[in-house]
Amino acid sequence: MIGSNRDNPDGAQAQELLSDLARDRARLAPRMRFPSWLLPALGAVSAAFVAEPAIPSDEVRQFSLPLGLLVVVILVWRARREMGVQPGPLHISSRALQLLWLLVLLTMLSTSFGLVSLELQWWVLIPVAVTFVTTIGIGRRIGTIERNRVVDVH
Amino acid sequence: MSTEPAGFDQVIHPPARLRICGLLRPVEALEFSRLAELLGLSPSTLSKHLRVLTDAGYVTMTKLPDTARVDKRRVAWVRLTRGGRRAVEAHIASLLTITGDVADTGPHS
Repeated sequence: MIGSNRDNPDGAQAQELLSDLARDRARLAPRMRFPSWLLPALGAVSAAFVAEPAIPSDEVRQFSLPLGLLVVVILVWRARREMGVQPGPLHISSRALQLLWLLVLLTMLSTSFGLVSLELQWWVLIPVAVTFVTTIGIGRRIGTIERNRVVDVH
Repeated sequence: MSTEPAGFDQVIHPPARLRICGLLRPVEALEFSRLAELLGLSPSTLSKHLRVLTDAGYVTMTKLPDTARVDKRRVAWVRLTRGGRRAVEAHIASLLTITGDVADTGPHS
């Protein structure tokens, strides 16, 4: 058996093994940093979704949601491959931030609809910009929470 | 040989295997080459340890083609099985018992 060790460790050896695990997790955490292109790309997709009411073509609007979701899946898959890490289930704080992001997205989308109905198409750029910035900000915060969680595991 | 504490697992216990399990514990999966890099192990040594863990039913490996590579080499994702997670948690709890620290050992606490 490779590296088999039938002796039970004493307290000091057990502590050393646990310290090794903590050091490994500290090395893993930076590897969980998102690729630099991921959050701007997700921000751009989210912003495009909010800009949708200002698009005059019905054909484009019809396919924008499934196309946007497909792009998000491809981006996340590509990012995981680049990181070499598939993170575990999100911490409750990260889930709360995801929910907050969704609320911001829907609020900005309804604001866009309102602005377009008032024929203020160019003002849609404001909710579009808010969505882009919020997506990047919340994404960074979720990344930090998840990296800290890896280090903090006992 | 002294009596093993509850949850102590001889398959997981060798340091390299314990470190493999410790790295897989807080994530869903790690790519084989990333795991080797983090542990400072050669691919062949890592493969041997993973084979032992796979044979014990603690780890699975999923190989997928990597379309980003010109040579289309497959990428191996390594993950703990549900039983593997339970065994790792129990083993780490046993180490904590040995050290006299019985704090919460949950990976997502």
